[in-house]
Parts: sequence; C-alpha cells; structure tokens
Amino acid sequence: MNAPHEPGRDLVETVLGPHGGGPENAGLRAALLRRTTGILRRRRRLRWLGAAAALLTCYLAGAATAETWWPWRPLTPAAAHKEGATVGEPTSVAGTQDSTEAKPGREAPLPEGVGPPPATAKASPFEVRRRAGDRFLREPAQLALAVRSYTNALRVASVEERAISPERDSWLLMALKESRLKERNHGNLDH
Amino acid sequence: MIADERVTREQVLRAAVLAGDESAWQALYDETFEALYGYVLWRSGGRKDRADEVVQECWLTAVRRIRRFDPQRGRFLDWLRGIAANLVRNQLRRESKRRSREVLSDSRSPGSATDGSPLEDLERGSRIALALAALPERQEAVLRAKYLEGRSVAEIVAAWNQTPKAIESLLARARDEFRALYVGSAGDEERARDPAALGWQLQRQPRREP
Repeated sequence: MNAPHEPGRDLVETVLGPHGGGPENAGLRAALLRRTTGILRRRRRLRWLGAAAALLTCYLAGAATAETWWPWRPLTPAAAHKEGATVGEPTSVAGTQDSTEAKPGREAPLPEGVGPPPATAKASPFEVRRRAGDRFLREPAQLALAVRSYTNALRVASVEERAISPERDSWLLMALKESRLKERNHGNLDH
Repeated sequence: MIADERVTREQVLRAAVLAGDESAWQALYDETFEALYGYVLWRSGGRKDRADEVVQECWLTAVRRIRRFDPQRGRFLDWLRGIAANLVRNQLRRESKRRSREVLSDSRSPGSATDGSPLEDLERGSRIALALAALPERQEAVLRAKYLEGRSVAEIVAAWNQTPKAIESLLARARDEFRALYVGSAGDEERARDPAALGWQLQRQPRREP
C-alpha cells in the first residue's frame, strides 16, 4: 500500500527497521546451546537419581517390614543344629537330605520345631515321621512334604499304627491310611 | 505448516525435551534462535549489548520453564517472545532506576554527545526500547509485523483475519503513539523521565540550577 508521505513516517520506518543480527551472534548461539543442553542433562540425571532413591527406599521399607512382621525363616545349618535333628534323620535346608537308612525315596527334612525325641521317650519311627508330617501340614505350601513324611511313616508303621485314629491322625494321614487299606483289600479280593 | 500439524509437532518436541532429549531441544532452539534474536534486538532499539543479555536470559528461562509452554495456545516462538518482552521491560525499568539515581547524585558526565557518537546511539536505542515497551501489546505487534517481519498490510490482514481498514487504522494509531513516545522521550531530562509520557513510575527530579 502506498500511503501519502508523512513526516513522521520516515522517522518510524527509520527507527523501527530491522537491525541486522549478523554473524556476531554465532558465538552466543553456540554457547547458549551448550548451557541449555547442560541444564537438560543435569535435570535428567537428577530425575534418575530420584527414581533410584525411591526404589531403594521401597526396597529398604520392604526389607524392614519383612524383618519386623514375617515370622517364618528358612532353616540354616546353624539353626537346624540348634533345633536338633532326629537320629537317622539329618536336617538341613530342604533338598540336601542323605538318609542313613536304606529306604526307597528320600526322607523329607524335618520342619522347625521337630527335634530328636528325648532320651527317655520311646517314640517309634512311625511316630517321628507322623509328627514331621503334622508339622509340614501346618506350614503353608508344604503339603508335598507332609505327604512324603506320612508315606514314609506308614511304610515303617506297625499294624496298630496303621489303623485310623481320628483323635491323633490328621485328615491327610487318615486319607492315606484309608487309601492303603483299600489297596490292600482290593489286592486281597483279586487274590 | 497447517496449525494442527504445528501443534502436534511442538507437543511431541515438548514432551521429548521434558524427558531430557537433547536433540529435540536443539531442534526447537535452531528453528527459533535467529527470529528471537532479531525480535529482541528490535525491541532493544538495536542495542546489541542489551539484546545479548536478554536473549541469554530468555533461553535459560525457557529451558527451565518448558513445562509451562502450551502448543495449543500459540507457537514456541511466540512464547519465547513473551518471555523476552518481559525481560526487556524489566531491564528498562532497572535502567530507569539507575538513571534516576544518577540524576539525584548528579554523577552523569556533563553534556551528552549529540553528534551521532556511540553514546547518542545508545541513547536512541534506549528511547526506542522504552517507546516500544510503553505501547499496548496489539500496537507493538502490528509494528513488529510491519517493520521487523517486513509484512505488507495485505499479509497482516490475512494472518490476523481482520479487514484491511482495521489493520490500516491500527497501524496508523501505532505509528502515532510510537512517534509521540519516542519524540517525547527526547529533549530535556525531566520530559524524558515523565511518568505520564512513558508510563513508568519514577520520582520527579528537581530542576537543575541554570
């Protein structure tokens, strides 16, 4: 648009025309880029450190909670020795059993609290294994070991001990005894 | 670039910068550095020393506050210009206060140069900056579009979605206002520091003894 000449127009156009930036600001540009990316880098590092610190805090909180509230502890050799072991029934962390008796199948390790029978007690081999099975049955997720202990108990049980005893036997032991009885009766019938 | 594409692109870049991606930051930086520097130099009345200081402060502020940038509300360059305009205003305010103290203590060197020397250029640059800072935002924007960006009236009409008459009228008012502020800031020291003319809250100074 061509507007008529005004005295002031020249002043405004003169004064407000663009000022060349030129190559003089190249140094400023590079230096500023370095400074600003440095700030980004520091911020990123701080964020990672913060996340790591948060994770560490959560881990420590969980460990502290476990120490305070969780009653179960895995058996260590020192703890097992302190608790005591049944004669002929070596105890240690599960999975490393060596029975001194030549029996088919490995003996399950004795649970915590099942110590060797007192010298004056006359606990039979069946009784020891039965008690072991009872303790495994009370522990969470130890059902397989309870079954193994009871099975081993029944293998060495006398005729009286093989009889079902609702007052003393757990539900699992009673089921196993009943199952063995049926097998025996079935076998007798076949013969 | 279509507005939606621009918004999407800047949103992606912003998110990347917030995640610490340096290349995203460099993309924003390279795209807008020259335009921002030109704007700040223009707002500073051509004074490079002032422009360099403001540009530095502007970029440092931008990288620290990138979270506040909303691509939906405007372009990244417009956001930077807003930061720069505030920084220029603050700088001028500080300079005005310093000048007031100088006048009080009468510590200024006797007789300003009037022969186009660098001191005169500095003074003129300050006057331009003061006049632009005192303009309403819309008038400043139309003067920027016309004289810094070199747009024609027709281009401004298209960009702003206004009628030609409205833009011409705004441009005329902006020129008159700027002229009044710029010319009014020249002359004797008291007129240059008149709060009514320049919109600054300054203490009136006693007249000098002849």
